[in-house]
Amino acid sequence: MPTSQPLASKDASLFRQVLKCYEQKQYKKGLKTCEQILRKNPKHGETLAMKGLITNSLGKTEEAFAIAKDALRQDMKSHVCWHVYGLLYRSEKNFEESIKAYKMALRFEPDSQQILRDLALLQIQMRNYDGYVETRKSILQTRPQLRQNWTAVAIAYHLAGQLDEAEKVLIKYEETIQGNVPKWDIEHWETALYKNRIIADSGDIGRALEHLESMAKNCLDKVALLELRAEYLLKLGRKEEAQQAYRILLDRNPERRDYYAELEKAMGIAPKNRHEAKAIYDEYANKFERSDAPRRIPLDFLEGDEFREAANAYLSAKLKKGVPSTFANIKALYADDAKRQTIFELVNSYNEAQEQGKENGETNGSGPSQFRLWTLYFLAQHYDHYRTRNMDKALECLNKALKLAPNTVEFHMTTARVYKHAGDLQKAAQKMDEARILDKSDRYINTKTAKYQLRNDQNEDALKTMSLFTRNEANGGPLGDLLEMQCVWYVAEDAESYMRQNLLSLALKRYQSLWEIFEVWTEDQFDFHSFSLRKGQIRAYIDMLKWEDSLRSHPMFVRAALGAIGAYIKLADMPCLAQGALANGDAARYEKMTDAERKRALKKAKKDAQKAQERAAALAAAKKDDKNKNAQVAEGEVKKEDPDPHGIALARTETPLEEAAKWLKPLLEMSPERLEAQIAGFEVQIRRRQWTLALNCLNKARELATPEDPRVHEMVVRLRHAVNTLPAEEEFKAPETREALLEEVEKILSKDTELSAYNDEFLEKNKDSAAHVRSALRIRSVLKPEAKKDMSPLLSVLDIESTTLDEANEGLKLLYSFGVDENGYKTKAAAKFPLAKVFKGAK
Amino acid sequence: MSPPLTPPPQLHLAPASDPKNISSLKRLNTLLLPIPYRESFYSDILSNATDSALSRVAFWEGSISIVGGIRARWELTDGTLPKEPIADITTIRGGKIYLMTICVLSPFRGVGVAAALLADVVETAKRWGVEEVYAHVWQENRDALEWYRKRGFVVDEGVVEGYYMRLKPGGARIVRLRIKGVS
Ligand SMILES: CC(C)(COP(=O)(O)OP(=O)(O)OC[C@H]1O[C@@H](n2cnc3c(N)ncnc32)[C@H](O)[C@@H]1OP(=O)(O)O)[C@@H](O)C(=O)NCCC(=O)NCCS
Repeated sequence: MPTSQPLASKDASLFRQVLKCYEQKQYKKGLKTCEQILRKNPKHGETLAMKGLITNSLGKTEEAFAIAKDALRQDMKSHVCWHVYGLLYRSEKNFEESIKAYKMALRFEPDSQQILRDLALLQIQMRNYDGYVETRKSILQTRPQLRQNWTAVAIAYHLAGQLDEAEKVLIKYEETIQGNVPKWDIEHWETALYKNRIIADSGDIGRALEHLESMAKNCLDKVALLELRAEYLLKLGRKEEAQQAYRILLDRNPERRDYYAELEKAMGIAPKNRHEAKAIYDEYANKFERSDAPRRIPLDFLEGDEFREAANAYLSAKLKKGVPSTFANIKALYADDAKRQTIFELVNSYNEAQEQGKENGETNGSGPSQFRLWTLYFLAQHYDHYRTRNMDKALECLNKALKLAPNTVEFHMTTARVYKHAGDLQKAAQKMDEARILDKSDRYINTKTAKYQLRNDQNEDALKTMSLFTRNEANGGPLGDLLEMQCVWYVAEDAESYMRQNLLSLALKRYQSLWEIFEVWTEDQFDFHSFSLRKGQIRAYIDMLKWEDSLRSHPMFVRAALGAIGAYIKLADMPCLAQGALANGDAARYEKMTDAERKRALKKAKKDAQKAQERAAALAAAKKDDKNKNAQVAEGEVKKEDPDPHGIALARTETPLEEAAKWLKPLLEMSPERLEAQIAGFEVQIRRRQWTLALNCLNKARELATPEDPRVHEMVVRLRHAVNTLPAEEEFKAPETREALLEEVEKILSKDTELSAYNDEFLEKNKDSAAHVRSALRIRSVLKPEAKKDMSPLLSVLDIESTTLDEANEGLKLLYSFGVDENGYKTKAAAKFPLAKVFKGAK
Repeated sequence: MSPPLTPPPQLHLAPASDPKNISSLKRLNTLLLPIPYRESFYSDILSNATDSALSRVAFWEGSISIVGGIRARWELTDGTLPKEPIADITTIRGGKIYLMTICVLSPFRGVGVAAALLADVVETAKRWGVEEVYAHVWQENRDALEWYRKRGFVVDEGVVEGYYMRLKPGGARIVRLRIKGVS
């Protein structure tokens, strides 16, 4: 439908020029041309629309919307005006409104490929499958000659759960091409394999196998063919053939663990019958001399002498060859006491034989053997493992190894690691840095060094280390580049370091960056909706969509969410922290300080924060100068300066708990099976006085944890206590009612329970477990604040042999949070963990 | 309650009871509202005199496409529908008016389109002397709740749970406008 506002031919050509300017990002020129047209035709809707679009590209969103609306009020029948209106919403990420606008645009221009494509993109991005089916069908109708338009409709049906429709579309497509397929046409075979997957997904495996075999000769993805065939045969119970199929696959790749597992199934070997299974692995070990899997897998299930024999063969071969990762390969077996013992005995016996050999003068003069070096290295890692930790012995082994081969980077790195585990983070970082200097071009060790520096809260040093490998002229310097490169481990470690220093603003800033990176990963799909179709990579595309759907269950998101929620809870509990860092003890004591003390503490904190800010600003300014010299910024394109680079505004939020709830939502949605997530949910909701939501989290946590779990105990008592002390005027929002809440809590712990006694009993029963003791003491401080001073159970925990450094550290944090004198504890802990820096400096 | 503004000059209202306008109204509602309505929701406007009197579409500057629409119905005081459709609407006295849908295309919001549509219904309400004009609003639709409030509607305490089956959360709030000056 033509616009209702035709332009004179001269103006029409000017309009075409505007379109061109926009495409070529010549925004200023485009705007000028718009004004030229508007001078004569002030009410020309499409020109106004283009003016709005360009204005938006120049970063003036609000103005752009006003212009675009005006455009529509002048010419509401123009698809251009509606399309632009949709594009503006799209750039604001308001996809719902954008979809509506595109639909209006299509009403006036139903065949526009551009708009149909834009609409389809948004629909699939929003997982609006029904809408996507409709739009893809329209596109197919207008352009049936393109294969991707057919596959797209099939994908749409597939995702909407209509497998039979999806298959029908692909059959129709095959009819249209009538078998005219060039041999090398990868995309065709990809589509065929996709069709095969649809058939299999619909449950008819027999037909899927038939279909697969019909293309076996020509299809180019041989591995997929073989794997699917084996899978189908096994599912159909054709075991002989399935065996053969898996053997063909194993001959191609004897390292794939699941092939072995499937072969076992095909051979009907019961999970208990390990004797028969071993024969398979022996067979492949003999057949493939260099293969790891058939040698390593049996170690998982062999026992006793058989295990000893196999482990001996495995370990000695690896160590003689000098495989640095030998320990990492077998570490998983350390969960089994007997196997751990056997492994140690074996490697220790190599060591003893080697030492003996040396005494007997058996070294051949050409330097230390690989076997000697990596045996020592293995033992060092053994003594560094948390189940068998002995720091002195670990260092002894490493020193021996270093004497023999002073420049071996692994030995240096593990030395650093041993110090880290002993709690001397400074020495650990220093050792790692020494290792780095051995080979400055090794990016791996560079990264490790930065990580160790962050663990030691040397944030600036860490960034400097990273900057040896970043593009430092990037917007925002090295940190800007790390963010741009989505280096999430660094951002997370940096955040956690700032958390330890109680620099909540910077910690929140980093967490915010992580949030944004995940947003970007969601957005990245946009590129693939069209790219994958064009390239015909359908199966990978469908996998990608599924991956995206559960993106926020990723461990990194969980880690960031838990951290950010922790930071906001801290802010809610101690608003003074928004002012900047207060040293650990100060934060807890703040509430009890005299006014003068408070002033001093805050002043110091503010000053520290300011200093940090100034340093960063100076650094940024210096960088900017360089940048201006060599950067060429595209015309008019806006470089968005970060208005809050230090997260000051983030930390000053008036509603920290609402911010926490924002993180909580995807966390609970995507990772409800994580106990930590439910605990975080409880902590947030109980502070928001959202009793039912807190109760829900508690109930889920009770399902996930053992009844004796200290954190569950804590939550149960706290909720009971909170409910017992609810004020009469507490408001309940429908459908929540006081009665229902009371009833539900009663089911967990009766209102008649004497909570203090209940908690003391729990403490008495679990006084040998550090985590239980901490929970009980926290509860006690809630129920009887005056009993806070009695920290003897916490000190007793230090007497227990098995108490780890982490546990001891948690105990110290508890003391800080109570604002109780920590010197006695520190002295005692320092005796137990002499290298740990946190316990140093007791008065 | 804000003082009434004059409607924008480009705007004019028309009865929805014209087959063409009805299909426009349907398309508008499908585009803008998250829930689909039954066929009779639209066909009744043609056949039922009270439905017809309470449904309007809004045009912008002579355009053939509508930018907004309203659809309401008349109920007895107890909230039930009359057993027989009312043939002669001039005989109506009392009862209530239930606002079923009101919506405006987004670029045409904020200039008084919905206000004009509502004013038309309220005028009828006054003429008929009904007790109140009321509506369900999705609990999360803050903008709409605010819009009603500013037009003198009172929002009931409490949420009608499970009112919208397709939405999450599914609760609705009820908003009511008392009609004064019953004649
Ligand atoms: C809720 C909705 C119907 C309001 O439509 P609208 O046309 O923007 O409403 P109005 O233009 O009458 O009022 C919006 C603002 O414009 C202002 N306005 C500007 N010019 C005006 C004029 N000439 N006359 C009246 N109001 C005018 C009003 O003062 C009002 O501001 P206020 O609420 O702060 O007082 C619309 O937002 C909509 O369609 N939403 C989606 C569907 C929906 O949620 N429907 C409601 C549930 S069924």
